[in-house]
Amino acid sequence: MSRGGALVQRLAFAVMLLVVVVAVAAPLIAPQGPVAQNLEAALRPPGPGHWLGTDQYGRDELARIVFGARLTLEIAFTAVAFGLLVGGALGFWAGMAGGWVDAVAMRLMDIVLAFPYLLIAIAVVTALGPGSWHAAFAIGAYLVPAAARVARSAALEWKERDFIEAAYALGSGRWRIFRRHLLPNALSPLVTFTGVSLGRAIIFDAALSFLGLGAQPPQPSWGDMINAGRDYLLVTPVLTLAPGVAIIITVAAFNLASQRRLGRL
Amino acid sequence: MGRYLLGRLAWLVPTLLGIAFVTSSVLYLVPGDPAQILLGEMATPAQIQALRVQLHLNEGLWGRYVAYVGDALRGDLGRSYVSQQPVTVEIAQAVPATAELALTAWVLAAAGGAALGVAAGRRPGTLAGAAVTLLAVGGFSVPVFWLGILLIYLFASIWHLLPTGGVGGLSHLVLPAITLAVPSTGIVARFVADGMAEALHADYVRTAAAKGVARRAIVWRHAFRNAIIPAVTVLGLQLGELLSGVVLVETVFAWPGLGRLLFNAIGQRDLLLIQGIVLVLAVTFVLVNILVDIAYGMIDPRIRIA
Repeated sequence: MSRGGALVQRLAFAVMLLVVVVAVAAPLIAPQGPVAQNLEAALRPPGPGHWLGTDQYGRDELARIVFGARLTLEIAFTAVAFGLLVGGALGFWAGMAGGWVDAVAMRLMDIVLAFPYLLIAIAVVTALGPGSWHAAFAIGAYLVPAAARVARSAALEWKERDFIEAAYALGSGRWRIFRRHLLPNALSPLVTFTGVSLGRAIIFDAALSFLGLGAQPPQPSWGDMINAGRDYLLVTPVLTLAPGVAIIITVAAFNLASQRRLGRL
Repeated sequence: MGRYLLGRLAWLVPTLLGIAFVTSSVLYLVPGDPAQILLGEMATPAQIQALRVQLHLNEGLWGRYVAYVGDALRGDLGRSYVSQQPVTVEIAQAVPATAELALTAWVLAAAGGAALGVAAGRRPGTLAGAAVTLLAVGGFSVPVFWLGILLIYLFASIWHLLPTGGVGGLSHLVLPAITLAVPSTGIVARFVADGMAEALHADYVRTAAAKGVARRAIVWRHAFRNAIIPAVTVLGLQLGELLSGVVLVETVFAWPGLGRLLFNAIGQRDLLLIQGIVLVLAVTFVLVNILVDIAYGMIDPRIRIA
């Protein structure tokens, strides 16, 4: 990696941490909360007191962005955790077992990978009813096959190494080998996968909530805020622009921080 | 080649059945009685019962799935409960607009991606390289619906250069097509640029340069032709991705295609219409991807032999 690439990655990591801190400390940063209305102060332009202005209900836009970070990270982490647990378990199991288990599991994953994600997520959330947890489930389900592939290739890479064969010979069980030998070695690609997936999960969540299928009002969901702000684009464009910038910064940070190969051009 | 073709087409069957399973599960998973939801509060028990029979709601998940696939194969996707029109008719009316938008965006992504990619790949470290990196990073970080709103704000609301949305003439197509094309352009440019940079270091390029071939001919006749092979596959796959993007872009630009139809159907909880549109878009997506695979196998013999 070039020196510029390393710098970008470090910067991205710092931004990523900042977003997480903002999300965790949201009640301290914006004590009035994301849903406190004040109709007399509706649609104020940015200025002292309301650094990003107020929306049509007089809610502070900055508070909604900050609490939106909390909401979107909750959904993204849930989705990725689900994808990693289910997909990772499936992938490690397929990779360690080999044979027909491996063949069947991976063919199944190929089929799911051929699905168009957003459309399937729309179908799933329509069925379950809109809401943040259903969105998280739909996004997590989409991440399962990719997670399975990453875990499987890690298992295949390590399972025939001498030290693992030796552990088998010494009488270690499969679970012990997985936990003590395979998992620690396979962690690096899984960490990269987690970072990239968090970025994707945030984008999908924004798309679903923009379509009205994610977290429901008055929850401060970035995608829904963009959709609601469209009606006031000429009055206070910041209502639409700010949540978009928040998404871009967050997703770019998660992506760039976790990619190992950067800035070749 | 025949074997390769058969292998690819055989994949189609489980994939399509899987997609049909997901979409047919929609009605199964909806809380409450879908027949009641579709008909509304005023429906008589007899009407509800008739619809339950028509939708196979009295059967289990498996029975419904089989019935749904059977109906779909006969071209019956049910009726929209809002317009009372057959879902297939509603979809057929919206297909041309979506096709126009997606294909325009696809051509833009191909042309723009190739031009940017070649510029970046020829001279690494220049402005074009930075632009490609920015576009590639932006392609997966910028929500496409937000980009569309930003363009509307700038080009329609502030500068009054283009209409904010709707249809009518070329000027209405410009912003939605560009919005939809941006993420794909970044990806294609990245592949072309990587391919160009690699090809220009290949032995055959050095040989060509040594025997005095002009730089221009080396770039276009030797390097470019090799560099675009991976980009062609990516470009093909992007056509499928664009079908997901249209849902968001059409919504933003009030473009009367399948995507906006889907958005409106979601707002009205028009379940059968949602189910039908998702099925049609998803099946198209899969078919396009398989066609791309097959076309790629024809272009590059290494693929089908391996």
